[in-house]
Amino acid sequence: MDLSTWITHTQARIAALPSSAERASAWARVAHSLALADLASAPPGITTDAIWVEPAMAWTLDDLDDAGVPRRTVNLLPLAPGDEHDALAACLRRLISTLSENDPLAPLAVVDACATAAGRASTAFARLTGTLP
Amino acid sequence: MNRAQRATHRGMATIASTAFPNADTARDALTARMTLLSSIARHAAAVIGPVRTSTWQIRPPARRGVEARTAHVRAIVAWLDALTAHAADAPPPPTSGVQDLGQVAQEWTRARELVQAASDLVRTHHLPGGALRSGAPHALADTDYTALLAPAIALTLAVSSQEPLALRCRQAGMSRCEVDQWLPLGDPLSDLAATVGRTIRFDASPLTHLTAAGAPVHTGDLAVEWQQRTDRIRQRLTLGAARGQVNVRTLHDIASLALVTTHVLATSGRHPTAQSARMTDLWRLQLAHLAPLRSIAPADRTIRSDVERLIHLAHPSTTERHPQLRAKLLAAIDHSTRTLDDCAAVADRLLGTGVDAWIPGTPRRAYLQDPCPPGTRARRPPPPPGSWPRLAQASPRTPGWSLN
Repeated sequence: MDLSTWITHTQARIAALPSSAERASAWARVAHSLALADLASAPPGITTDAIWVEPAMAWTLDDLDDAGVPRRTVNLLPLAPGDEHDALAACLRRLISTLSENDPLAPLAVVDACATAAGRASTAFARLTGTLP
Repeated sequence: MNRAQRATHRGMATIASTAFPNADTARDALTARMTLLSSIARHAAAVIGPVRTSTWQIRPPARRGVEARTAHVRAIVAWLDALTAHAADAPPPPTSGVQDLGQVAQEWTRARELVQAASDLVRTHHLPGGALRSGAPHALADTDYTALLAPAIALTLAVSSQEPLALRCRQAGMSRCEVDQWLPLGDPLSDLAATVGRTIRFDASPLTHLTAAGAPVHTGDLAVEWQQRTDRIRQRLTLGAARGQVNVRTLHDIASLALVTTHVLATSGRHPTAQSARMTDLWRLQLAHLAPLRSIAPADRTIRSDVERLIHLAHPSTTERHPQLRAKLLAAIDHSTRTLDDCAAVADRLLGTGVDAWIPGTPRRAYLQDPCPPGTRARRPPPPPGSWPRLAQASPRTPGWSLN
């Protein structure tokens, strides 16, 4: 499956989630999975820039879980080999955009977690792509 | 805080049993009461932290705006506002000696000094900007401040009652107008403190076990900071393992740090390529194994913040304009491999003998009946893919190395 179709499909699935915090958690989980896949698909003995992204996404998921954001199942379609890096960058960009959404009904703990996650995601994007989000 | 409570109660007992000899002694007692309340306000603000205090005090933007704060938070905010109002009206502490004051004023002045000492103790764990320092105890990082605020609320309840004090002041010769200025009718402080008190448990306060913060990490020198943080990670991991309080998420953080360290040392040419490649593959397997695991014990926030800072330091962009700093940092990273190997040995022991690790169950569709209560479905993780690799094995300790 080509990258643009995969992103469109994933975005449609995640957009169906009820709150911005849950959508951010879903994007973070997709990004974390892509980072692990990017590391696993690298040639033996080689690491990719995903080593800077994977821990940030893991911490983001932990913070959102601790804040009480429920995890939702998002079924992803298989991605073409070699597209993990570009898909990861696209997911991080959408994660940052979702974390920037204002939700007046969100508890303060979720607001704190999203604010921290936005900073981590921006840093991870810069380290992955070398550019600002 | 316990000693402050005892001093406050001695003052109240003195009011109940003994009259003020004159109006000046009564005014000294009133001054001491106001300064004690202001110190309690500062103590509560220090415990909660300036950042969270300002966040809690944000009002909804419009009259019909959604109130997102819980009732407990609103009660604490109302109590803090009432205390702050008293703090704003409090006169400066008396400059004369404490022994010249009456018995009640002496006890309450002593209580104020003890509360200020407790506030200073709490502030040693905060950065100048208000955020918690990375080595702060978990009790201060917990957003449920009930146990930490209980002594302050008890103090407020003890000293906020007006009637016995107002009667003694009138008895000493103070006019009703002056007494009403010091002790206004309808002061809600006592009711607000009682409202907050009804929502908390008056257990033994963890503040009694709080000590002054240790020496901060030296952030002026990247190499020294790297060494101090890695030493602190090893120390906390070993201590947590001895207490049986290590979360697999903490082990995942350490594995991430080890993978980054391997990557940095390999790209800097410090370690041989073949051994670095083998190390990288082993760490990738460990990371993939740890990624989905969860455990009951909470993740160590101090270790996590240290790992986050160390990964930030290790990134080339941090020192790209300072080659000499990068060289010193690489030497410190290479020197820290033995410390990380000690952490790997602890992790091997925990993963091999611990049972506090599982993979959470996948959330099921809402239309499917699930006999298990939410959050209880889990499955046993697969066995680990082998022992954690030792970074020091990959280092030939060659005298020369190249910069990244």
